[in-house]
Amino acid sequence: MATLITDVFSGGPVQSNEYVKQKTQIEVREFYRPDLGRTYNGADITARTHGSYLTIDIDNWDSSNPAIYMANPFNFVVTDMLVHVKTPFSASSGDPYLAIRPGATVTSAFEYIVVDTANTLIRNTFSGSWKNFNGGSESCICAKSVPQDQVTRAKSQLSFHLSGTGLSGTGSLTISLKILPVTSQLVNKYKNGCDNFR
Amino acid sequence: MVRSLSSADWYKSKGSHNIITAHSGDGTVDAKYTESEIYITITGLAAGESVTINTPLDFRLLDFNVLCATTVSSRVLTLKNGSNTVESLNANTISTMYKADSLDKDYLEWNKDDNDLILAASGGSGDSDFFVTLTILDISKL
Repeated sequence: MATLITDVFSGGPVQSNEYVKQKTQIEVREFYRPDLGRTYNGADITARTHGSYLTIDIDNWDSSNPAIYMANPFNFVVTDMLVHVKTPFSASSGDPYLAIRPGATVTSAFEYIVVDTANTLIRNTFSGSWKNFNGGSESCICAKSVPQDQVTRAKSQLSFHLSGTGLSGTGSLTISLKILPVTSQLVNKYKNGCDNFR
Repeated sequence: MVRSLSSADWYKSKGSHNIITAHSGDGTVDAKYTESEIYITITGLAAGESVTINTPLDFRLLDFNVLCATTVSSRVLTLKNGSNTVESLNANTISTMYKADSLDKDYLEWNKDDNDLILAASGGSGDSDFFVTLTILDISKL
């Protein structure tokens, strides 16, 4: 049985240095939003850290509920991304897109990918601005969520959004993010711009 | 002596572990796994030959990359789960990295001690050398 990372909500935040320290001691850790468990708008969600990766399985995702918000137990920078489309979505015109966003809204995603073909493996293309590493609203840094944000959902720090014309279908995806846990201090410096990120 | 290891062994030792392997031809194969990856070094793999990698834990495949160390025209390297193809890559040019752009979702999970992770060569003539990286998720504790 995986260890559930619930400390962030029940026993204080899990610091990134704590995560790094524990990484050599834990096997696979799982976290989820305590207000929602492992489902979100009917989708089954399992998020696991393993080594340098955060892998998120989203199954039975009904496109009529196109947004999923995660709760991050620690701060991290996304350094690479891989999405496996197990069951695709459809669009009546154009392509169905998945946006991966370090915050709560669909704008300023650090990656947009087409999710219309089963079995495809889609890699980070460094599209958009996430290659710039210059902070601001389009950075690929995901700050730790705090409990009250999970209620309002206003500041969930990692979210997935489907978009497209005439979007339809119930899809399944695996999203693997290569991550680097960082300290809160670094997050603040980073968000102030690249001049402070050395 | 190399032995089959549990995931607990790995996390306890904080290092890479050797995995038992077999080569159907006269080449060599070496495999190690770390927290999230299996690294496989293959030499002397000709068309019709394959290597088999033991599966010391339950895991799911997330990614499959091949660095080709020899040039053999028309060479294809196929990753199989038992007899089922997960992905085939045209791995035919030296110093080129080939990355999977699809994985068959029906054959992504391997069970501990099934020992049926297979890399098979086809096409072309002559021996190929490969460095293979598999990114995996340990599902034995889930």
